[in-house]
Amino acid sequence: MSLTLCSPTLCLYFSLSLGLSLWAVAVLLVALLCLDPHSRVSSAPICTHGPSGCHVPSLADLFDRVIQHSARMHSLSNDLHSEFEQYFLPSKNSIGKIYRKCHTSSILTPNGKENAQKLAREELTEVILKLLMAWRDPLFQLHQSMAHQQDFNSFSSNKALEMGDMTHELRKGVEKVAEKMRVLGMLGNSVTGLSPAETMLPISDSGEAMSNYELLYCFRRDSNKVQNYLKILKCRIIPEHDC
Amino acid sequence: MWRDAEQALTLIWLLSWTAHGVCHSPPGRPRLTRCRSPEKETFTCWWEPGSTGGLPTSYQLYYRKESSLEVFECPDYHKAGNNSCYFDKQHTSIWILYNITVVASNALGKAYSESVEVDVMDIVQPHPPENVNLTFMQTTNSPYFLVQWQPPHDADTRSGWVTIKYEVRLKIENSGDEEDSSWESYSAGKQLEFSIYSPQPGACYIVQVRCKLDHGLWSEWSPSSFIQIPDNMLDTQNAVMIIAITLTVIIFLLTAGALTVKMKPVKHFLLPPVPEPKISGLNTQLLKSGKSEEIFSALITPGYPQIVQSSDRQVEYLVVSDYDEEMDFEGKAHLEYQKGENHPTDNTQKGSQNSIKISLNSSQDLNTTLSENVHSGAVSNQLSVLGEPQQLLHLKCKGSPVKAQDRNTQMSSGSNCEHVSINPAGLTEYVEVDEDQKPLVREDYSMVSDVISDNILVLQDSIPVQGHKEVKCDKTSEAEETGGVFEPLGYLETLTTFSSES
Repeated sequence: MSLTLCSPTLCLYFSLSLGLSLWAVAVLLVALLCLDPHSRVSSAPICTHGPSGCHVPSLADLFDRVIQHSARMHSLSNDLHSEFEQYFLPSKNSIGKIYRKCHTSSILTPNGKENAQKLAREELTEVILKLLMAWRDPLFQLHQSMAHQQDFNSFSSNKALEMGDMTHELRKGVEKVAEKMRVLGMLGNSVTGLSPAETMLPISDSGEAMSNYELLYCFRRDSNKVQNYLKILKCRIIPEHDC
Repeated sequence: MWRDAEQALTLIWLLSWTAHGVCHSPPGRPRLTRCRSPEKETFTCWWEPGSTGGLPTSYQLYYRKESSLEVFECPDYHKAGNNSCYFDKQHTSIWILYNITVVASNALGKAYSESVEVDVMDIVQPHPPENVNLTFMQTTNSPYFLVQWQPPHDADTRSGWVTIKYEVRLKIENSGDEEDSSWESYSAGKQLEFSIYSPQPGACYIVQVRCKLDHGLWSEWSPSSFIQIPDNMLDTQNAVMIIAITLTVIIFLLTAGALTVKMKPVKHFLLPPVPEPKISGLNTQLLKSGKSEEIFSALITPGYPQIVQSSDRQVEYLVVSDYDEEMDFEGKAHLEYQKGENHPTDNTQKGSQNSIKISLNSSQDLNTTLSENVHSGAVSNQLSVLGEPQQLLHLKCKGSPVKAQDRNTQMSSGSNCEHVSINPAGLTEYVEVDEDQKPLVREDYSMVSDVISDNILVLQDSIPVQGHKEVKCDKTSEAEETGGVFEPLGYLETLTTFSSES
């Protein structure tokens, strides 16, 4: 047996690796000590009345955020609706697929591009807000009934819950946008806001409560309406930004 | 008779009528195949006619909107081609269900298709993007080619009514290859151009683009566009660098190799010597000089019995071991007669050789050791101690007779032989005993009674062996005695025990 600890090449490699690791550790230590960890954590202060130094989002940012929000809401409703169709109604486009009226059909909504473009901004904003308001309670009911029924897995009922929360948040966001527009003078004061007496219950003509599937179908349609109206509104008010 | 003729004629007339295949019937049911909206503002529906029934058939499309019961007819049958209905902007409402039915009617009746319910927001599929053109950009470091296109002319993205998304796919065109390469797809978002970096030089690329509106269906792929990448894109500067680096590396390796060969310290540094296995006491230099005896002398260590078995030497041994505690011969040499090749007899190859190997562990006199160890009296073998042939030594037997027992031979010594005890510290040893004066095996192998191993033959011989006749070993001889009265010597057996007499 050789009496030396290691051959010359082995010792060389050993010492090289040791040196490299020591160097790396040293660099890490220096980085940790020298860099101020506190300086990297930046929390955005909540601006309530817009004090100076606070980053106030522009109208374009608000619109973008709201439109993304509505896109997410619509895709959720799309997913839930197709899940329903897949599991509970395997026959597509069959005879007898006559829907009852959605409870929001009493709200006059433009159902074409020209019609939507002809509407004034205030009316369009009001339509959006009316739609979102009308769905607050029905979505809550939908989540309740889905959670109680054994047919749905928890994933679906979670989606329904998320949808309800999102609708609520979106309504708040659109109200903020309207406020901003009013401040900027883009909106007249004809936006009256929603009267509290206008509570709509999803009751169809025959008096029965709508089924879950019908609710989902109606909400899918209405979320698409909201998304489209918001986009039209944005491109009308801020045409240069991504239109 | 006339009646029959009439019947026959009517039959024939009917048959001919049917034979012509001109069977008139009401039309078969048409079927609505698909409805599409290219820009979310208009839409078109197509249907597939059923059987015509042999008569000219006309088709009408009726629709009903969701909330009302009023039935309308298709506004335009011709714009989108045969068996189609085109709904223009005034007649299109989105987010409303249309209940559409197609009616086929001819002179004999009408046929209604199945009703289809359509919402425009679900049937959106745009036309493919237009004016796809490719440009190759050669920059110094990263060549790429640029794909540019236009949105379909009828999609209105500027008002925000639809949001359009694009997808690009490309593949290399292989002319003459069996295996076609697959398409690579890239999502291009809302932009109207896309860059493909690092294309393969000399390849021909096929590029296609398609688009989608909001959550609708993907359009068809645009017609293929081709681009040929020029061959030599290699920068001369890069080439020079690569050649220089390669040459440097080669030169470095050559010098290292030369140094390694020439200079020992470098060689030890780069290729440290591997320790070789060594047998202690064995000097390889002696092997080279050819003096085998010295080597073997060096191999012998005290207390270490060297049992060398080489089948090619046809050496067989008798094992002699002593279990008598009285005679403590520890440290005594083992006696082995080795007779190997020093004995040119006409013995056969197969084992009539006996040999007793003597291994000296000390510098004792050979004579004395031999005298202490008594063997069969008629040992007339040559002693070859450690390979050196020596003259035969006559053993003087004194003392108690010695019995050496083995399976087939009775080996004994004269009555005046001394007790032989070989105590190799419990080891047994092979001892061969032989009579070399007699030809042990004749040519005809008639004396062979048994073959024990590949070099041991048991011979049955009628020739009396000197001094072996009378003595019979008591204990184990009966068990080990073979059929013969006595076996002559010369058989190699392994002796297991060596019981001392008395």
